[in-house]
Amino acid sequence: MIRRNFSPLVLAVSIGLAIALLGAIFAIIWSSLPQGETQLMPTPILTVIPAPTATLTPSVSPISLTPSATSTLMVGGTGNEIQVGVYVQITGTGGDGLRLRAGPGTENEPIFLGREAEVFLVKDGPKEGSGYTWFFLEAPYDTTRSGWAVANYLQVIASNEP
Amino acid sequence: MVAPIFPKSITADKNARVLTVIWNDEHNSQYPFGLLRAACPCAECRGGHENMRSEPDPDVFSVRMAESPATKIRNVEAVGSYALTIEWEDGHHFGIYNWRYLRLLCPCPICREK
Ligand SMILES: [Zn+2]
Ligand SMILES: [Zn+2]
Repeated sequence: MIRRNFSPLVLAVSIGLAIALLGAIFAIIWSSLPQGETQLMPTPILTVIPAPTATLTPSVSPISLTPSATSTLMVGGTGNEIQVGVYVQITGTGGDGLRLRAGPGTENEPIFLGREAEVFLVKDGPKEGSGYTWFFLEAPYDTTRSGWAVANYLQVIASNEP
Repeated sequence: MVAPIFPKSITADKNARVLTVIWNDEHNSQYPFGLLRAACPCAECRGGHENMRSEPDPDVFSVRMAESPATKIRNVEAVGSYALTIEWEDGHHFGIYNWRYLRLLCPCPICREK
C-alpha cells in the first residue's frame, strides 16, 4: 500500500537525479574541453603588418597578386566604359555576389554566383534584356566560369590587369 | 589518431596582401588576401547553411579578386585555439577559418597536387 503510493514519487526523484547528474557530467566535459585543446594547440603568434609603412617585408614574397604602391591604382577612374576586352570586377553587391546567367535576361537560368570583387574578362555585350544591360563575362583562369551579368554591379579595372 | 595540425605563427602582411602561416609540421602557407575572401566560410558567403562544407569550395582557386575593401584585411584574430577570424575593410567579419580548413586552402603546388 505504502510502496504503491511512493513509487511515482521515487520514480520522479530518480529521473530528476539522473537528469541533474547527466547535466553535471556534460558541464564538466564542456568546461574541460577548451583547456585540453589549449594544451594540444597553443594559440599561434599573430602578427598583423600594417599597410601604410612603405617598406615591404622581405621575408614575404608576393604570389599571384601584384602588390601596388597605392591601393587605388588598380581601380579604373571615371569614364571607363565596359566593353569587350576589358577586365571588370563585381562591386556593390554588399557581399552577396552577383548571379551570372545563361543568357542576357533575368528569365535565364543562373549558372553560378560571382563573388564580390571577383574579376572577369568581358567577352560579349552589351545586350539589353529585362530592363538591364548585360555583358558576357569569363573568369581569367577558368573559362568554364562564365555567364551573362548585369552592368549595374560591374566596374572596369585597369586594362593592364592581369 | 592523426596528430593535430595547428599554426605556429600567422602573419598578415597588409602590404604584400599575403597571409603567411607557418604550421607545426613546418609547412609554410602563403594565402593571397583575395583567396581568403573568396573562400570565406561564413553562411552568407557560402550561400546558406545547406551549402556549408568543412572543405573549401574547389572553385575558389580559380576565382580572382580585385583589390577592393572586400579583399583588404583590417584585422586578424584567433578564435580560441582552433581557428582564425578575419575582419575585412568592407566590414565583413563572420568567417571562421578553422586550422583544418585553412590548411586545405593552402594554394601551394604541393598541397594543390593532393
Ligand atoms: Zn563571409
Ligand atoms: Zn601547402
